[in-house]
Amino acid sequence: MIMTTNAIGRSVPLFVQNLGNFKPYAGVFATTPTGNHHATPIRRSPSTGNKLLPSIRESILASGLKSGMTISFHHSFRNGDMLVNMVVNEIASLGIRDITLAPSSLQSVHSALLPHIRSGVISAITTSGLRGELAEVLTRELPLKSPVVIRSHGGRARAIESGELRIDVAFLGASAADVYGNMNGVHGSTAFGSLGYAMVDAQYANCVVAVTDNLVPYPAIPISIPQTQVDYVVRVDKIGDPAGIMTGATRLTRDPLELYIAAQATLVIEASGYFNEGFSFQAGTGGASLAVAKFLKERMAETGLRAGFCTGGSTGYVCEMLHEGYFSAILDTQCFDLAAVESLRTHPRHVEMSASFYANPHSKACTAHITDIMMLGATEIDTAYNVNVLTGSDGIMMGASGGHSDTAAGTKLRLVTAPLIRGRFPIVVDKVHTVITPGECIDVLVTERGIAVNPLQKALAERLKQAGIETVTIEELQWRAEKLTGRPEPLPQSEDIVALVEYRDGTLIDVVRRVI
Amino acid sequence: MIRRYAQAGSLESGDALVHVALAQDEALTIRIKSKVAPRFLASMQSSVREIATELGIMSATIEVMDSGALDFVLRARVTTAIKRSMEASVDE
Amino acid sequence: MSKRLRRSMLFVPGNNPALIIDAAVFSPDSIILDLEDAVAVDQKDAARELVVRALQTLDFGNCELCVRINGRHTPFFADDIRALVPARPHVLRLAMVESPEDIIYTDQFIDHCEREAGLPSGSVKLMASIETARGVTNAAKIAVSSPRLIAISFGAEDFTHSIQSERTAQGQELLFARSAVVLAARAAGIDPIDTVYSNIDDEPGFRADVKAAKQLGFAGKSCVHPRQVAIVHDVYRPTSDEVYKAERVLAAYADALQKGTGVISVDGRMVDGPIVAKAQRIVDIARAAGSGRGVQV
Repeated sequence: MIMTTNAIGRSVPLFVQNLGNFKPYAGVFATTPTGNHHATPIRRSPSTGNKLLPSIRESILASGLKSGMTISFHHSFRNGDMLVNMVVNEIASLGIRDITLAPSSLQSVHSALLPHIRSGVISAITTSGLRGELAEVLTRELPLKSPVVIRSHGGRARAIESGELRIDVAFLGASAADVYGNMNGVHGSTAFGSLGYAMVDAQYANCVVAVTDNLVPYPAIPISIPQTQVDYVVRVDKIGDPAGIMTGATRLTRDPLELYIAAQATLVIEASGYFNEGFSFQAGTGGASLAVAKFLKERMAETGLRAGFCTGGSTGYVCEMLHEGYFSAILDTQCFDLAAVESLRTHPRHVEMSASFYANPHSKACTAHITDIMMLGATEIDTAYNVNVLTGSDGIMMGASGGHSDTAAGTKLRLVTAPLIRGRFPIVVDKVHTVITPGECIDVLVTERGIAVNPLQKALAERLKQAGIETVTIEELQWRAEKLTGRPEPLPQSEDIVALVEYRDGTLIDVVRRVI
Repeated sequence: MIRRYAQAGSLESGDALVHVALAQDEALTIRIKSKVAPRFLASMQSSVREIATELGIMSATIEVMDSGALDFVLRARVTTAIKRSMEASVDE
Repeated sequence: MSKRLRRSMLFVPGNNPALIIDAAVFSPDSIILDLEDAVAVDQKDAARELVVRALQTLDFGNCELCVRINGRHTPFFADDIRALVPARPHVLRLAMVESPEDIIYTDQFIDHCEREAGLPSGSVKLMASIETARGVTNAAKIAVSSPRLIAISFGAEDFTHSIQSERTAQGQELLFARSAVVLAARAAGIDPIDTVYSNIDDEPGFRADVKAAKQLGFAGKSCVHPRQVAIVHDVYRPTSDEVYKAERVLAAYADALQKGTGVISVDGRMVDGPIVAKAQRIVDIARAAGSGRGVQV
C-alpha cells in the first residue's frame, strides 16, 4: 500500500484495493466542496393499492438488490436493534453476496453478522462505530475484502448526499408507519425518538424500504420521513427490543469522581467567556458530561442566565431543562431515553433534525458550526490534544467516531472530560492509537487530577487564570498519570490496516491497525 | 517457604486476586491473567518475582488475576498471599 | 502562624485499592485509612499491607494522613503499629478510648517503634476516638494524657449504645457527650472532631448536622463519603464579611507590632490576643477554601 503523511503527521494510504483513491487530511476546513447532490431515480406513485409487502424477503426481491450492492440502516434502535440482522439473514438465504453494509452505526448485537462476514455475504462495511465481539474480530482479523471505513455522522451525511457513498437499498425501521410509507419514531411500543440518522438515507438511497411493527391508519403523524421518499413498506412482528433500545430515563451519575470532574468542568465553562445569555450547548450522555448540564442549570437558577438551544442527542434531563425554560429549544438527532422520546412527541420546541442538518460540513449550514459549548469524551488524548474515541487503550475498536469531530470542528468551546486513568492506563499518551479529532479542535482537558488548556488557546488560558483556576500542561498530566500507573509497553500491532478513519470531509485522518 | 495454598486480594476493579500454591517442581512459576496485558505484563511479572525473592521464596506457583491494579497494590496482594501461605495451618 | 485545618476527615476503607487511590482527589483536610471497622477480621493483614504500601507510594497532596488502627485489646493492635510507624503516617487514630491509660500505653508502644525505625520521637501523632459513657466521663483526662494527641473525636453510634438509649434526629441524647468532648479538647488546645453521618443521600440533614457541630465548637467532621467533604468545607467557610473584618484585625495587629503600640483597636473595639488568633483562623480557612464558590460533588 502506498502511504503518505497527512497534516497531523499520521501515515495514511493513498489507494486501497476495492475502495479506491483517498486524499490525506489537510486541515479542519481544507476541503472546498464541488459538484451537485446525488440524484435518485424518479418513481411513479402507486395509483391503486398501497406499498405494503408481506415480508422482508419480498421487499429485498422487489428492491432489485443484487450481489455487490450497498445497503443501509439507521442506528436509533441502538442495542435493541433487530432489523439489520433480520435483513442480512434474508439476503444470505436468497444467495445474494458481496454486499457493502453501510449503517449509520453498529452495536454489539450486530455480532450476529459475523458468520455472514466470514462467508462473504458481507464483504465491506462502512459505519461510525463498532462494538462488542464484532468490533474485536474486525480489529484482530481481516475477514472483509477491504478495511472498514469509519465515518463521522456529518461525514456520512456528506458522503451520501454527494454520491460518494451510494446506497442501493435503505432499510429504515420505524416504530410507527402507514401503508404509504410516512413514518416516525415517536409512537409505538418500540419508540426510539428522532429519526435523524435515517433522513439522509431516505432522501438519497435509490430504494427505500420502511419496516415497522406498528402500522397505523393513514397518515402516520408526525411525518418524520415522508411517503414521497419511500418505495415499500413491510410490517414485521417486532422491529426492536425495547429493553435494548433505551431506559426510562438516563440517571445522572452518582460516582463521586465523575461528579468531581463535572464540577471542575463547570468552573471552567463559567470562566471561559462563553457562558453568556443565550449560549448554545451540547451535553454528553453519560458520566461527567451530563452532570455538567445539572451544575450549569444550578448556576443558571442562581443567576437568572438562560441558555439558547441544546443540540446533538437528548436525554430526559436536558428535556426537563427545556420544559423549565433553561433552554430555548432542542435540536435532536437521537433520543437516549423514553423521557426524551416523550418530550419530542409533545413539546413544540423539541424538534427532530437530520444528521446533515446536525453535522454535514458540506451543507448550507449545520448546527455543529453554530454551537457555543460542547462536552466531549475520550478514550485517549495525546500531548498534541488529538483525541481517540474509537479504540480503547488495548487498540480494540469499541466506540464510534459519531459527532465528535463534527462538533469539535465548529463549536467555540470544546471540553474533554475524562478520568486521568482508566483501568491502569493513563488516558494521556505520547500518540493516540487512532485519531478521530485533531488536536487543534480541542480546547481543554478536564480530569480529576488536573486541567490542561491547549497552548493554541492563549486567551482562554488567561481567562481561566484570572478566575483562579489552576491549569497545568498536558505533559504534566501525563506525568502525573504515569507516576501512578507506570509507563505501559507499546501495544503489539501489525502493519495491517483493519479500518480507515475518514475525517468529515472525506479525507483520511488516520487508520486502525490490526491488534496481534 | 510455602506450606499451604493461600490467596489474597479480590476481583474488584483496581485490585488483583493472587493465589499462591506449592510448586509441583522446584521452580517459581508465575501466571498472570490481566485485562491490561500485554502492555503491563513484563512489569507485573517482574514485581511478582521481586516480592517472592524478597520473601525468600524460590519455589511456588503464583497465579494473578488482575483487574488493573497499580503496582503497589499488586505487590501488597502478592506479599499478603505469600505470607499467608507461609503460616502454619490451624492443625499443625 | 497557621495551624493545620481538620474540617473534614474522610474515612477510606483500608482494603479497597480504588478508593485509596482516589481519596486525595476530593481534597479532604485529613484522610483516615481504616484498618478497623471497615475491614473484615480475616483481611486485617491484607489491609495493613495495602495501607503501608499506599503510604510509601502515593502522593496524597496536602492531606493529613491518618490510619485508624485496631483497638488495644485486639490481636491486631501491635502488628498495626509496628508496620505503620516506619511508613510515617501523620496520625494514628485509636478507637474506643476509655481512659488515659489507653493513650499512654499506645504512646509508649509508638515510641518504641519510632526508635526501632530510627525516627525522631513524636514523629507520629495520635488521635483518640471517644465512643462510650466511660470515655466521655474521662474525656478531659484523655485530652491531656499525651503530647502526641492532636485531636479527639466523638463516635455517636457506640456511645448511644453504651448509655442504653437510641439515636434521634435532634440528638438530645448526644448533646452532653458532644459538648464534653469539645470542652475537653479545647481546654487541652487540641481539635474536637464530630461523629459521622451515615445517611449519605440526606444532604440537607447532613448540612444541618455539620452546622450544629460547628456551633457546638467542633473543629471538624468525620466524613464517610466524598460528597460530604465539599458540604463540610462550605459550612465552615467564613462569610466574606467575616473575612473582611478578620483581615482588618490582622492588619491592625501587624501595624501595632511595627509601631510598638500596646493597645490595638479596630472600629472602636479593643482587640486582644484571642481575637487576633480567631481572625488568623478565619483568614486561614478562607484561604484553604479557595476561590469563592464551593464545588459540590
